[in-house]
Parts: sequence; structure tokens; C-alpha cells
Amino acid sequence: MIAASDLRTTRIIERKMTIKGKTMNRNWTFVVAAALLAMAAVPGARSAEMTEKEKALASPYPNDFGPGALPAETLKAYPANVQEGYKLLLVRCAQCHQPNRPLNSRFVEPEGGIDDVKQQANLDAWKKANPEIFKDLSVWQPEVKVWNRYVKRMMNKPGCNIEKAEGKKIWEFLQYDGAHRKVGENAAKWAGHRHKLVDEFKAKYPKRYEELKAANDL
Amino acid sequence: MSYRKLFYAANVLLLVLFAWAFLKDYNAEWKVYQRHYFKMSAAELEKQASAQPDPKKASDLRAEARKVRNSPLEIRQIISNDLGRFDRCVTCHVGMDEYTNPTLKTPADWKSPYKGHPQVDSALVKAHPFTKFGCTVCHQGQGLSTKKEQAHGWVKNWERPMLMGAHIQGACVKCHGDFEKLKGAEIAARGAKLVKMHGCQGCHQVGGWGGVISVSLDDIADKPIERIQGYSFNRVRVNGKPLDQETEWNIQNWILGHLENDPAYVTPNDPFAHFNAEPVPPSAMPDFSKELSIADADAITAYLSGLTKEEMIPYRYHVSATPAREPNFADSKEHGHYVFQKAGCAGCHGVDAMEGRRRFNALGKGQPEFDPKMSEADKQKYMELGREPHLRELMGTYTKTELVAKLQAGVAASEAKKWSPDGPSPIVYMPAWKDKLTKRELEDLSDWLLSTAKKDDSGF
Repeated sequence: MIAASDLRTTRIIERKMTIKGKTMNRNWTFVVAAALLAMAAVPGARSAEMTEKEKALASPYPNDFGPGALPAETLKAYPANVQEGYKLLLVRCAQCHQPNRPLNSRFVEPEGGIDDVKQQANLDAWKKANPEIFKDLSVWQPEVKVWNRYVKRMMNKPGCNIEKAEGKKIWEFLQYDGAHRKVGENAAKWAGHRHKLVDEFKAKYPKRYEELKAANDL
Repeated sequence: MSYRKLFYAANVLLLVLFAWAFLKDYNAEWKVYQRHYFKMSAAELEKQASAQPDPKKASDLRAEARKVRNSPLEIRQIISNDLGRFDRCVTCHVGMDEYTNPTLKTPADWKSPYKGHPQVDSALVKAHPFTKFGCTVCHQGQGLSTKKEQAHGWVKNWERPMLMGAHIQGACVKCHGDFEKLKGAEIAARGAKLVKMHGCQGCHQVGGWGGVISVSLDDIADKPIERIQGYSFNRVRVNGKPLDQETEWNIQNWILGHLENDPAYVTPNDPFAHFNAEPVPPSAMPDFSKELSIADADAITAYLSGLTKEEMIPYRYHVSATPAREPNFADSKEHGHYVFQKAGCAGCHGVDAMEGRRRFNALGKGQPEFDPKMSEADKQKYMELGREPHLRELMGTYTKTELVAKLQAGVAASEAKKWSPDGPSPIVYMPAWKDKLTKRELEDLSDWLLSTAKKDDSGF
């Protein structure tokens, strides 16, 4: 038999449990809601940078699937100002696309600073010494001031906050890097790298591959 | 009150009512005008009779004056079966009624509504005899009405108010496919030229040519009143003045309102999603108010007022025009500039590619990093700084091959980079021009665009 006092105690315990249960339920509700909100907020809270990267990947190029950084030993051999340009590229260009895109690009700009004549002379020299780099556009696109134009074009994109001095350093890196890592004694290694990227790209994105091939833009 | 007294009172009341009805009818607006017109005509004839040395002729003129003075007052109307018009305009504008005034001419100092139709000897008027065409087919308004405000369409919800001033030339555009060469339609022709120059066809189609970003202008003058009633006429100023809701909220002022005001101010929509599930950007139409004069806006309105598919005008009344041949060009750049205008590129990139126009919530110059804590007023201000590409600044970074490829492929709206991630998506995009322009046109357009490139001041 249960005494009246015990009954009261039992009711109080039950009530406390119920209240506690409600509190616990509320807590869980709060946690779940917060988690849902956080999940929902993630896309909204994403910076425009992420969105742009996603957009860049929505229209991929073979470049995008190559390495996103230079090997340390390669970089070590580059002059200090060029290394500085590389570091800027990793940060500033990544506002809109991954560094993979320029680092694995087929663009090659002859050295010669901003002097068209000097660049053209170096290009002509490549024509004699490395005629193979003018035969396959999917591996090399040697062109006077090609990086110069592209860097400036990117700098003109709305919202691009790359300063002129920064742009110059990035361009200096891209010019130097292309002229040393993609041609000359590294030409064969570069060709192997690009062929691999293009072949893998073709297998993975056959439709996009055909589009880019038709537009001479692989 | 006895029945007899009630009977007398009712009779008196009836008499008063009769008198009131008689006076009201006697003083009907159109009767006042007709009476005055006949009085003026009779006086003019008597004046001529006094100056006439030949007594016989003077007598005839006096007899004519008496006849005119005693002319019956009546509703006059022109019935144009072909055009489905029953126009009673000549009830008040008696001087324009060929039966009352066969010469259609009146003394020079007579004012409206008594004066005759201007330029009655011109080929334009002779080619459109009033007895065949009526009035409203050109002038619009409400032909059946005999009251001034209603007849001119200056009443609420009348969809075709009278085309006044420069706007009357829109009437030529309705039927004359060759209006751009037509004498008397110079203002409308200038309006059509301005439409091309400012790039309206970049977003709007005209005659099957143009963009599909906004509505076709082919029947813009037919836009029903209920479609424009949601428009913020309260925010519109035409020639600097607000519009009267009862008489001025109409299609002509709707067109003018888009040209003389900033459409984004007039149609702000809901960029912060206060009333919608998703943010809705303001009107994407550029602000032309700073680059169009009032006369320019009037010329465009005249032209657009004639873009109608009015079914009441039979096809045989239309004058078709042979498509104009493209002019000869001195070089590829000149042709390229022509293509720039033809394709409506100025709609987004400014007249002669001088500026990138507003692209709400796209990235633009002068915007700080987006901060969600900013006030809505600041967010709005910075979202308005979004811009379409400034081509003159960009052209130096393209080769001709690259530019042609870019023009051919176009740029999808989804490629736009938003300033506020939570704000509305910029909606304007560049179409793939490969389907609309020939290779030669694209190459020449590229030649012209490349020639406009701003001097490179990057230092590298």
C-alpha cells in the first residue's frame, strides 16, 4: 500500500521528470534547429569566392585537375621576385578559381619583360629550337604577352581587388614559370603532364572535352 | 396636404425639371462650341460681305452668313466602316467637318476647337481623307464621346488617350513600315534611331529582332491598363511633374516614365525579400534619364506609341517597307560600330561602349567587402554599384580571336558574381551571338571594339 505522502512524492518526481523531459526535448529541439540553421546558413554564409570556384568547376578545363601547387624544389630555383608572384597567385587568383587553372595552363609567354620585340625574338628562337611546342595547342600555346593580357583581363573582372603591383608580380611569375617549366629541357616532361591531364579529362568529361576541342580551348 | 395641392406641387416640380433638362441640353458642351463656331463663321462671312465691292456677291455672302448662323445644332460623326471608327470629334471641331467647312480652312487667329485642321493642303492630309479615315485612327481618344475630357481620353482607365504634340507621329508608325523615310514622321524616326543607339533592342525585341531579356516592344502601345496599374506612377515625374491619377496614368506616360526616371527607383521591387520568398531585384532597365533629353524621350515615346498590333486597322491599310539595305561602310570598324548599335550592345555596355551600365548586386567598383551587419540602405547603395563590363577598359586584354569566341559563346547570367550573397541574382546576361550575328559581323564588331580599347596604364 502506498501512503498518501508517498503518492505526493511520486507525483512530484513524475512532474519533475516531465518538466525535465520537456526541458530536455526543448534542448534537443534547440540543438537540432541550430544544426539545421547552420546547415542552411552554410551556402548563404559562403563567401563569393566559394561560389566562384564552384562556377569555375562547373565549366572545367583539364588544367583544373592538375596539381594546385608547384613542387618545392622547382620553386626553390625561381628568383625571389618570381616566388613572390607565385605566393600572390595562390592567394589572389583563388578568389575566383583554383590555382590549378593557371599552373597547369598550356599558355606560354616568352621572356622579355613587357617588350613585344624581345618577346617576339624569344618566340622566334623557340620556333627554331623547339618547333614541337607549336604543333599541339592542347599542350602549349606559345604567344607574345598571353599571360600579360590574361592577368589584366582578370584584374578587370568586377570585384577583383588585385592591385597593379600585385598583378605585375603574378604576371612575372607566370611568364617565368611558363618559359622554364613548360619548354626547353622540360618540354617533354610538360607534354607528358598535359597529355595525361587531357586524356583523363576526356574520359571524365567527354562532352566538355568535345566543346573545348571544337573551340581550340582545351 | 390635400391631393390637389400635391398635384400642383408635382406639376411645378415637373416644370422645373423640364426647364433644368432643357437648360442642361441647351448648354451641352458640344452645343456651346457649335453655336460659337457658327457665330464666328457668320461674323467672318459678314466681314467678307462688307469688304466685297460687288453687291451681288456681297448679298450672297450675307445670305450664307444667315444660313450659317441658323445652322441646326447636331451631333456630327464620321463613320469609317473599314476602320471600325465612329468619330464624333467634328461635333465640337466643326471646322474640321468637310460637310460644314468644305475648305477645312479657318482664319489663322481661330483657336481650338474652332480652327481647321493644320496642313490641310499637305500630301499627308490629302492621303488620309477624314471622311474615310476618321480621326481617332491617328489621334486616338474616345471617338464616340462628345465631352472634352472623355473624348480626348483624359479619363481614368482609357487605354488610348489622344496622341499629343510629338507623340502624334506614332500614328504614322502604326501603318507605315517605311516611316523612317516618311515626310512628317521625322520625330518618330528619330525615336527609332535613339532606340537603336541606346541599345533598347539588347533586351527588347522589335520586329522579331532583339533580345529576350524583357518584353517585346512590338505591341507595347497595346499594353492593357491593368498591366501597368501596378507600376509606381506615384514615383514618376514627367517633365519634372507628378502625374494625376485620374487623367495621366496611361500608357504614354508609362513609356515616358521609364525614360525620364530611373526605373530602379520607380520599380524597386523587393531586394531584401521582405514580401517574397526570394529577393527580387529592382527593374533591370538602365537609367536613361541622364542621357536622354526630354525631347529624346518624347521622340522614343512617339515611336513606341505606334508599335501596336491594333486589329481594327485592316492589313490593306498598312504600307509595307522593303527592308532597308545596310549602308556601305568605309572599313570593318565602321561596320563593327553599326553592328554594335544593331545588336543593342549599348543597352548593357553604354552608348559607344562608354560605360558598363548598372547590374544590381553584381560586383562593381567602389563596393566595400560585403558585411551582413550593414544597414539595408547601405546594402542597397552598394548593390546599385554593380556594373556590366566596361568594354573600353577590357578590350586591351583580348585578341581578336578570343573576342570573337567570347561574343559567339555569350555569358550566362549564372556567371555573374554577386556582391551580397543573400541579395538577388543579377538577371541580365550576354546572349550567344553566334546564332544572331554572322561571322563577318562578329569579326567587324571585334575590330571596332578592339579599336576603342582604353590606353593601358597598368605599368606592365
